[in-house]
Amino acid sequence: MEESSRKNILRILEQGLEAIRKDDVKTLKDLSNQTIHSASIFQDSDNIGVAVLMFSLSKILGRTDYRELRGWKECFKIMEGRIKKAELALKQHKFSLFRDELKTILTEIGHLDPKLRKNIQEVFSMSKISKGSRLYEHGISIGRTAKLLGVSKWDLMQYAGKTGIHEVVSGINVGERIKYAKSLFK
Amino acid sequence: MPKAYSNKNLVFDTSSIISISMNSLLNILGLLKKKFRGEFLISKKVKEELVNRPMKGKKFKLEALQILKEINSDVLKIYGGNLRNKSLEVLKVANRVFRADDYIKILDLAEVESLVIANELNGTYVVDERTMRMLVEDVRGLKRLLEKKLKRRVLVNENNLKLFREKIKDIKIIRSVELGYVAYSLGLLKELDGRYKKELLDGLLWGLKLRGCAISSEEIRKIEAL
Repeated sequence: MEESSRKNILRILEQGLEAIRKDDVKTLKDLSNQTIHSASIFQDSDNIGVAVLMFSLSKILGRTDYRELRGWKECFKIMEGRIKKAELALKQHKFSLFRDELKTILTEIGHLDPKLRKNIQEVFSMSKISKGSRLYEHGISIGRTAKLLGVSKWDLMQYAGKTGIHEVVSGINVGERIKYAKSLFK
Repeated sequence: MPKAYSNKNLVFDTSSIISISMNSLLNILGLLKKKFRGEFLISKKVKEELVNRPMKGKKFKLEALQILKEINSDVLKIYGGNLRNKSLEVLKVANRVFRADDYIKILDLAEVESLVIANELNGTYVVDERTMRMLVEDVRGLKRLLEKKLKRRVLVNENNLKLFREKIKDIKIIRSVELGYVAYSLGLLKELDGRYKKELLDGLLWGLKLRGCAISSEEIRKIEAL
């Protein structure tokens, strides 16, 4: 891992933990967006993973109804505890341990009460697609983005189509393109 | 060029077939092909993304089976040539055109492979995703977009851009919306229109846009005004 990446992720995790404690959904979302800029350039799985994690946490904490579900306290403890351990591992330059700690969040959530587990897993999976659409918005192709995030092009296209990403007009004039397309079928 | 291919080819990227499929418009491909009098091609990698992978899950399995039907009935043909090495060369160059702190890898092999096939066959490339189209048609626009979104200066490696343009010459690109419009203007969507002709065009263009085709609402307005 590049030193600049390590420092950036450390900052994000530190501020992320603070935001979790304060129940600050907006900061978590902002932290995720900040990571997307660097993830678009460096395209490393660590930056991308942290962007998805912060976004997922913002969504999970934003759903106050989840707190009523059985296992919520345990879930919160898992997330906070693993992020703390990941932060510590990264401070000590233990990169594999850092990655393992973050992966363990999903494994441990797998042992929660089925209803909460299903909801949380869905949030993580939707967050990947949502963050993927941001990478695409940043100019990375659908194919490259799908590969980086491990999501399908099908899901990404459905999501991107419903955003304002395609409102940027570029390239050949649409009238010219239609004229050309029609000429192919004469 | 392999002899089996006609001198008139449309080469589809995964993205354009996804938009067509998600709008239940796969049937227009066969009708369009009869008017086209050439081949509709996809690469093996595109077939994998359209059929093999979604077949393993539940979400898009039905669409995958419907696309497979179009392949089995030869409406969509799999390109049989091997352009892997050339595609890898083009991918390497394309992913070294833009630089911020590092080169920005903007494309994936499957996308480039379809572009290379279209280029080799002198065909037309049908792609709905935005980045590839902008790289071919509007490099400066893509640079501006990257700079705006990344909030930093992006440099273009002119040497790599020149190499990319030498490998991919003046290729024509259309999207699913242009194909949809042609089908509409040829009356191939006849069974749906009746009293609702104007609404049909609006529904067709917006349906394709909302399911992933990179077209702006301004462009849709322009098409509807034609």
